[in-house]
Amino acid sequence: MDEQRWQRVKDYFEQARLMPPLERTPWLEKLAAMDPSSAEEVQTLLLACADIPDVYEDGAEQALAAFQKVEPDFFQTGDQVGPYILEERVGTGGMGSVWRCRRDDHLDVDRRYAIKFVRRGLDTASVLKRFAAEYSTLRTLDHPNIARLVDGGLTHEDQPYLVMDFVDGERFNVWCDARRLRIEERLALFRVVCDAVHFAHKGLVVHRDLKPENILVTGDGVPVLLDFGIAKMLDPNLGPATATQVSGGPLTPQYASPEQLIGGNVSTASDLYSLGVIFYEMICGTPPYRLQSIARDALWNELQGSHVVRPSQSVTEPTAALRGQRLDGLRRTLRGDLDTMAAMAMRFDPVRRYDSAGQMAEDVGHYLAGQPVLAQPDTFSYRLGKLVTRNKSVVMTLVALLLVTVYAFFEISAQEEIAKEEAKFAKGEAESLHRVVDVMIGLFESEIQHPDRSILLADEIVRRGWILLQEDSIEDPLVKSTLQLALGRVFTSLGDLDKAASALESGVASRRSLYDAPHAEIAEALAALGGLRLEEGRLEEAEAVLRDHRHVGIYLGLGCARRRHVGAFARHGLD
Amino acid sequence: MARNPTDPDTPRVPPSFFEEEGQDFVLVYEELKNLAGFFLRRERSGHTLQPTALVHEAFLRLSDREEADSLLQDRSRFLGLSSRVMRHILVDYARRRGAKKRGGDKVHVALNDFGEVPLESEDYLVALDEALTRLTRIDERQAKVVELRFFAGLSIQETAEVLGLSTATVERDWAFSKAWLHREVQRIGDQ
Repeated sequence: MDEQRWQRVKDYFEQARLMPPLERTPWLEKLAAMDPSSAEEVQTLLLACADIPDVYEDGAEQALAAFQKVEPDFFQTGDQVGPYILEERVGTGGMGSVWRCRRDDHLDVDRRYAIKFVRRGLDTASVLKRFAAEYSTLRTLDHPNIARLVDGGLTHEDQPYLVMDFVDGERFNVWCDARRLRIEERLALFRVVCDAVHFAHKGLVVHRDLKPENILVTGDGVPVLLDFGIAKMLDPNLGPATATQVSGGPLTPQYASPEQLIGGNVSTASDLYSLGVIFYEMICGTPPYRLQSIARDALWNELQGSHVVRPSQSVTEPTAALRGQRLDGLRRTLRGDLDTMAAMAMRFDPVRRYDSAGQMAEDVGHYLAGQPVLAQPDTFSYRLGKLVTRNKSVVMTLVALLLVTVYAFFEISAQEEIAKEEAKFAKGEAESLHRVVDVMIGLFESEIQHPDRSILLADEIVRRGWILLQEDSIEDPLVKSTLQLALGRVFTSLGDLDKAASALESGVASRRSLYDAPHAEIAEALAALGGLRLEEGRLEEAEAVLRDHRHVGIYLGLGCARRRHVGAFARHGLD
Repeated sequence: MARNPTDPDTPRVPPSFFEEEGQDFVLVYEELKNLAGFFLRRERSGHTLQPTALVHEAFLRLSDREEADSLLQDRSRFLGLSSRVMRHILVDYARRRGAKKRGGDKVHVALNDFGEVPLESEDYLVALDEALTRLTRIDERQAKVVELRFFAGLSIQETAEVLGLSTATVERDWAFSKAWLHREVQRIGDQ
């Protein structure tokens, strides 16, 4: 078909497609008289158009789904691979199938092995190089609670495989639930798991994919860890001699550490996080969160956005029954130390988790022995301390502002006590208060040299400020709103967004009640609230608030607060 | 020894194919292939894998790799390449599955219906690919629209951006292509 005619047919088709169906037939008849071959084309296309299958809307998705449903099985019972004879397929891992097998050329005829086939990709050569590099390390991992890697090789068709001790056992959590193990019994098992992980870590092997499926418990009640170090062997992003262990390979998002999800450095601490998730699930019966996304960055966003409840709060009647306890009994058991231990192991910041799996095992031991545990909850002081180190000047300014406000408040209260009638706080004085702030900031900054002292002091001020607000005992609206806004900003920086919202919303309301016309003080309040909305990710509300604020700012020819938030907009790609 | 384990999931691509397509194609191909295999084998209930999610993830992962630098600077080119790779992976897979079914292999899997299509779903995809190749010869732009929409799962808007066309043009091309391809596929099926 030449180009002109093709174009003509396209145009005719478009016309016909857009016209009411009833008009098509007479229109086609007219066209047929004029240009019979085009008319026929258009007619057949319209016919085809009438029953276009769904495949065009979701065909690729469907094809992918079909892809998923078929797990090709190209080995059969009785097949021989190297000296191993396949007996039964026991699983399908992310990277290929797993079979139980035996060898007949061996005196130990009862011994069983697990053979794991690695799906062949385009990069078989590099997989093999990695195998060779890791193999010698993994072979040295000889521990009663770790399934040993015994062999590895290539099939006749060049498909890599690994051979491990076959572990006849049940999944860790299934085993515990089936026997209705009490918390202490579970903890005792978990401690053994931690010790085994610690052993491997000392041999510089990171598991990278710890999850209940990789922890089997044998009939004798011995936990055995599977697949140690295998994930690294299979990571397509790692060369044989990569120094930095950047993650990117197969992982199980539900148990993966944040650094694995963002493709950061994987270390022994990553295993500790996974142990934390396993621990959490073990004690209360539900996972800390459920990640649903597919792409890695989406998983990371999901994880950041997920709110993890304490184990003691997420138990249910049935999960308690599986632990041989009533609901409130289990709650009481978990509250405190066990809640804290789960939180400690699952911290986002790798350096703030347990130091080692050995330390976690010890802590479990402490708990079982009724001794104090090492795990400490995040304290407000801690977080404030972090903030002070990160952003010293901002915090100091806010704290100084607060200090002054609180100080001024007490002064005012004292005055009011003395002479309630005449000592109504005048606006002029309020403005002078603001000037005092500047002076005080300077004093405050020079006063505090030692970081610990500053944290203590700041902590105390924030705490007192918040109590003052809760009591609602400040009457002067300007002082009150200043305190509300300052606290709101501190809470925003600390990430305590609920308190921040409470403080800032009331701060904005107080300021609005102060002035009838647009005013710089209102603009300042709106700027702070807008900043919080950005933090919360409520971008539309942020925009509404900040636009309002800019309007106010422009009206007054006020530059400073505005500039700051233009920056905030740029960061969030809003403006 | 193991019975002819020709992995049905690992397409045997003739090396010449990659030579023609160039190094970037190979890069994207490896990435998408690994990802598809990896994601699809993960146990996920009630979630369908979106082609766009795959392509997006491939983009992110390639950004760690130096040799992909020039490719990633041109997002449109990357998406164009990805859609061709996806086409290749899916059609190749469908072709081998179709052949296997006809060969009376005992692996039998109930597939979701692909609408009211008289052909088996795999065969439809294979025929679609054939028709699409023909469309490329007649109207290359239109075939690209199909690749991006269908195989990379891009929206009308995104497709328009990648190809530098108006959304109206893409919409028109897409409507016409669907009709044309479906007609051609039916003709192939009748043969």
